[in-house]
Amino acid sequence: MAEAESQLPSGHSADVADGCGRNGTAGATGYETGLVAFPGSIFSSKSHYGVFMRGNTPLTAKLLKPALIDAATGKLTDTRNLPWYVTALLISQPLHFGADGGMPLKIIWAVLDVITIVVLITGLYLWLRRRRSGSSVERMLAATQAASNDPVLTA
Amino acid sequence: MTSARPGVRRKTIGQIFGIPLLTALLSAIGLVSALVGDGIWDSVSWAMLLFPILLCGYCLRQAQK
Repeated sequence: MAEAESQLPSGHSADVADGCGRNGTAGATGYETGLVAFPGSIFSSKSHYGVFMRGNTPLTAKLLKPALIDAATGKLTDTRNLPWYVTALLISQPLHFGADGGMPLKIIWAVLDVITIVVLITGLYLWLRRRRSGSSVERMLAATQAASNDPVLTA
Repeated sequence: MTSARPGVRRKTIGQIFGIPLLTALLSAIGLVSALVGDGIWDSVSWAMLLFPILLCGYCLRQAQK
């Protein structure tokens, strides 16, 4: 902890965290405080509070906006937006888990999965059948047609 | 190839790719609307993603006839 006199409310750690959250989100509309890391932890520096803000709409709820608060003065040191590719990854994260949209969407996903599995297995079955010689329908048809069309060659 | 066979009519590009494109469009709307919000957005997502399932069911029934 910094020894200098702090402008943050001292004493109870929840008050400090509240103050940090307010200072961190002051310049960031559309965000709310998600996590406040105390100085010296892996999410902050030795002399800064780390504030991680979450978006406050369903679309941006997965987004993070980090801010560093000077532990001595309580002022905002710096804050950054995420790079666009991290934004894209975080927003599309629910697509991977299928966790958005409630139980009906989960059931729809399950049915679509089963349909995909059926397509895979029937395709595998057809492929294995084809590899067994003489059992292909197309080959049998081709053979009989060739025999009837061109008796000289097949004889 | 198939168009030479009697009884098989040649299809236009629109007839071949119309329904796949529609499926892709509706699925995309469904996936995005589930991300965008809750409530009515989720319902839109269910309706859109139900389309490919219903299409599968319809095609299965047609194939069994």
